[in-house]
Amino acid sequence: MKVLVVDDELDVIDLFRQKFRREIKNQDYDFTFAHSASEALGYLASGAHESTLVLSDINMPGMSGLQLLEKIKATYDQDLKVMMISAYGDQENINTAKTLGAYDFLTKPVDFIQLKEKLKKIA
Amino acid sequence: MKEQTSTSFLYVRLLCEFVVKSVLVILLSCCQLTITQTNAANDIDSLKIVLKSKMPDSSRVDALIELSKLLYGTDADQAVEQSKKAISIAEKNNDIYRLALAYKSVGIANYYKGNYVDVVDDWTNSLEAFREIDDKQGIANLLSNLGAVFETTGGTESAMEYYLEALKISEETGDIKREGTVLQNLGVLYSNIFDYERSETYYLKALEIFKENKLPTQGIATISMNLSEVYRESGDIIKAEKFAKEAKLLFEQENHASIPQAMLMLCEVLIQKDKLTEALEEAKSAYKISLDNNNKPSTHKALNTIGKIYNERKNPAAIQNFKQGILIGETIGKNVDLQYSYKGLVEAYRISGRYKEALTTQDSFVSIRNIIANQDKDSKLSTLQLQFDLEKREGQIEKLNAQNELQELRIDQQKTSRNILLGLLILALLGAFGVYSFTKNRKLDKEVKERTKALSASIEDLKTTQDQLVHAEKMAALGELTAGIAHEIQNPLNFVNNFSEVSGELLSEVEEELDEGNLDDVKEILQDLKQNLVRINKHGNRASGIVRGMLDHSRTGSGEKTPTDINQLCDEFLRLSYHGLRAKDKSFNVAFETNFDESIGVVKVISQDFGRVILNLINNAFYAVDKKKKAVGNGSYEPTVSLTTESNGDEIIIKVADNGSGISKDNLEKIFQPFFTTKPTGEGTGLGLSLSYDIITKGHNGMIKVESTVEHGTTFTIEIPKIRAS
Repeated sequence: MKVLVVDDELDVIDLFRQKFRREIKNQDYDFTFAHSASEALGYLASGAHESTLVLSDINMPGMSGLQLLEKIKATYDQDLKVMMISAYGDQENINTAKTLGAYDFLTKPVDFIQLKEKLKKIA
Repeated sequence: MKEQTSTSFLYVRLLCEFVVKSVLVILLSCCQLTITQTNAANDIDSLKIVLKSKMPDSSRVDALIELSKLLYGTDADQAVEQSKKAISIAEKNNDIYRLALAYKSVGIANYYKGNYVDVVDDWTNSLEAFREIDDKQGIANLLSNLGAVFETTGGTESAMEYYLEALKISEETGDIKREGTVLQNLGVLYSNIFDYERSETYYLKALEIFKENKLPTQGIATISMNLSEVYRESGDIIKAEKFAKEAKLLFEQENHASIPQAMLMLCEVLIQKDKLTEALEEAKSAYKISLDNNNKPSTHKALNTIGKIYNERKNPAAIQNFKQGILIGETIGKNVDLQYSYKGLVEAYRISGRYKEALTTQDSFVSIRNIIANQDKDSKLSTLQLQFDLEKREGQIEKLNAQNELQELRIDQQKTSRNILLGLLILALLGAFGVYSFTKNRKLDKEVKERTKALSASIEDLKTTQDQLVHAEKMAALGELTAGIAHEIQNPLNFVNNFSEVSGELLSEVEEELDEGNLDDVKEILQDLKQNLVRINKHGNRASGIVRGMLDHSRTGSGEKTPTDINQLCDEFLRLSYHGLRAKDKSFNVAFETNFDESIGVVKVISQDFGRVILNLINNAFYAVDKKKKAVGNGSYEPTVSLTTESNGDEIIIKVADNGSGISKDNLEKIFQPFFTTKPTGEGTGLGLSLSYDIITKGHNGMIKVESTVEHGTTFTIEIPKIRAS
């Protein structure tokens, strides 16, 4: 399963690599990382890698995760699921993300056990 | 894969620069600037001799312009001077055609000098003159030139407008060459805003025109390279490869300096097709050619590409290539290629398990990324704005935001209740002073004293209520505050939690891997564990730094009020701010006006705190106008900041006004809340105005308010009671 993770914090890469060490080794998941919403859009537009899921932070400098969600929904078909991660966890952002067509939500700090379960369901 | 995407954007930008330059080359060649350096020196001398003799004014203007043309590349300052002479003669004779040519000439000379603001002025004047005599070819030429200069300076929207008009006129007049060039430029513009469909259409049209009319091969090659980029971005690898190969072939035929650029473009396609061996060979020859031609930027790019291929192959040779690239890149300047080298080197170290070096290199990468992000932010902003405007124009957005209306309603309510309270406070103060003036009357004295006491009490009550209101406002802002803290503190704390938690898990995994005898995995996990300890420490420090900043924020009103010359203080900070910004950014140039009321004299304030407020407001004003100036990108906008002081009875009023882009209604309401900022990460703390609010209201019993009109500017007003120095 191919997952595109969008977060402006660079350490997220190593966190995911370590948390999913076994899964990556077994080739259950293939993670790709973008450090901004525009990088993610460019990546998706290149079409080089057909992601099944985009996991995006909401609060990022420049284009926010919600704007990214809106653009993805306007450009790609419904098969591309977008899951939002936010430190806010507030109802307003969740409602907006729901309206914009987010598949699911996670609150920071990410509960990786919960995330793994959610990923299993999608796979 | 991620790297491929980011480099593709880099290439788009580099291509743009390349195209702009080639546009200029074409446009200069239109001016028949085909004189070689050696001939030029002789021609300059003979023209100077000719100019000493008597001749009709029209011939003199022509000669001066010819002389300027010869001087563009060698002595642009003198070219400006000669062209200006031509302007004044043409103006005197009311010779509009020659006036247009002379303005165009001074503009080209200024373009060589990099004075883009002057270029816009000169070419706008030239355009107006050509329009006056309805010289279609001249008009199209100048429109296209103006488009190019706006594109160079990031004024995408203006560039688009000029290009579209130039295109229309070139089509009308059948000026094929210009039509082709303008179409190509439009392709670049659309590619910049990621609209690859339109970009492709324009490039294909341009290519057709270039080919059909046998226009310069170099142009065809450049368009092919543009098309390769567009196809790669939109996922059509086959076409991307075809056009990259075509561009390479054409450049080779011409023995053109851009051969390595086309080769590296082809490499990107090959990497995407996973043909790494072929890509490596191509990149190595691009490197060799660039080195032979002493072309530093393209040598650097080639090294990056080689490094990237080695990284894909998990080959530690990548380290050497990126390091060499950094050495060359540092001599060129901080640009996207250098950023890419550092990023590649981090990856290369990681792959080789040299985590400590990866971590140090990552710091360099982040700092360069920030520098470049700051350099680019204005042009990016205008790109986004353009994208929005285009969508709007095409009627694709017809959304009404009900949420906005609700928010406005809420803001109105808040304002009303605050105004009522302030009104009451002022009424009470007036009442108290009114009553006090009757104290001469003995009969009423007692009654008055009682009433005064009662009123003083009610004033105190009202003050307390005001304090509570302010406090309540801060509490109400807690949602925003939480959001600020969530981002600023929660993020590092999350990392502390996550990395300590995952370290525990990794320890269990070490045992399992040891049992299974997977020593390589064990080593890898141990490296991760070491690195995690460094990370936990780094994020812990990051969080405590933010807490220290917040403590500074809460420490207001502790200083003592001392007699201060308010006008002098304002003037000092205005100059301090202006020169500080000038020192940081040489292009920063803003007019400032002061209007000081001398009757204010010396007033008691906590001067250190008060100065911070003034400095903060002025810095914000300068920031706003400078941002607008960079976004507008032409000479018609005059950034101005004004500072006014006024003595009004028992209070003094200070106003800081700017004619920047103004503040939206939504943001206006949040502007005094802590951690609220519209500046990019790292540039603003979001605490400046919140601190100012506290200093004025709590420290000086005053008021600070803001009025703003979007597009027209913002005015901050401070009102504080006058406490005379005793």
